[in-house]
Amino acid sequence: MENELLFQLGINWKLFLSQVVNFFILLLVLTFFVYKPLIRIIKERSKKIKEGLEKAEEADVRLKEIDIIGAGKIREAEQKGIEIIKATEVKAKILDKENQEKAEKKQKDAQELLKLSILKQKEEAREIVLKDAVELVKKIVSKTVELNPKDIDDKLVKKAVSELNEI
Amino acid sequence: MKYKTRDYAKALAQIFLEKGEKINEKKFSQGFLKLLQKQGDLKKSREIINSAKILLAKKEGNKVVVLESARKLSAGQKDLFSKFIKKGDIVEEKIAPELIAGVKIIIDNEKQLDQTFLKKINSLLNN
Repeated sequence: MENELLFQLGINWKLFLSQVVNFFILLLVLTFFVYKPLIRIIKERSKKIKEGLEKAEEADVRLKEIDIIGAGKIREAEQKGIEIIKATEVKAKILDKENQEKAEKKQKDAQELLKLSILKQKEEAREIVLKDAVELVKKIVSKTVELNPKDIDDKLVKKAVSELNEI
Repeated sequence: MKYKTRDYAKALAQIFLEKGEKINEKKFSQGFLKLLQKQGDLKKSREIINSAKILLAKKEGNKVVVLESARKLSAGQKDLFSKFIKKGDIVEEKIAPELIAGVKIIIDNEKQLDQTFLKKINSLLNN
C-alpha cells in the first residue's frame, strides 16, 4: 500500500535511491575537487590579502617615517643651503672687496707710473731745452768774443800766467 | 802679454837716452809701429810717444808744456810765458776754436790750468 501510494505520487524507490546515491557521489566529487580547492584558494587569497594589507600598513608606517625623515633632511638641507648661501655671500663680499682693492691698487700704480713718465718726459724736455739754451748762449758769447777776441785773450792769458807763477 | 802705455813710454825713452843719435829714425819708427801692431796697441801710439816725450824731458830736467787756445797766440801773449818756459822745455801749441777765448795749459800731462772762456761759461751755466 505504501508502495502504491509512492507509485501514485510518482516516486520510484529504485530511481530515488539511485538519485540519492548519485547525489552523494556528486557531493563527494564536488567536495573533494571543487569545494575544498576553492576554499583553499580563497583562504590563500585571504591570507595574501591580509598580508598585503599588513604590508601596506607597514609601508604606510614606513612611508610616514620616511616622510618625517625626508622632512628633517629637507630642513637640514635647507639650513645647509642657507648656510652655504650665507657663506658664499660673505666670500663673494670678501672677494669683491679684494678685487676692488686690487683694482684700486692697479689704478694707483698706473697713475704713479703715468706721473713718473710725465715727470721723466718733463725732465727730458727741460734738459733738452737747457742744453739748447746753453749751446745758444755759448754761440752768442762766442760770436760776441769773436768781435774783439784779443782783449779777452790777453786778460785770460795774463790770468793764466799769474796762476802759473803761483804753482 | 799686454803692456801698459807707461811701460812702452819708459822703454822708448830708455832707448833714446842710451842710443841717442845712433838710431836710424825711419827704421826705428817702423819697427816700433810693427811691434805695437803685433801687440794690438797701435791706437795707443800717440799716447805712448807723448808719454815718452815727457819722460825724456823730465830726465833732462825739462818739461813738456801744451798750450791750447782758440786761435794762434800772439808774440806778446807768448812772451808772457817766458818766465815759466825755460830753454829745453818742449812747447806744443794746439788750436781748439771751441775754447772760444783764453788758454789751457797742460804741464807734463799731469797738471792742467784752464783759463778759457769755455770753462768759465760751462761753470757758470752748470751752476
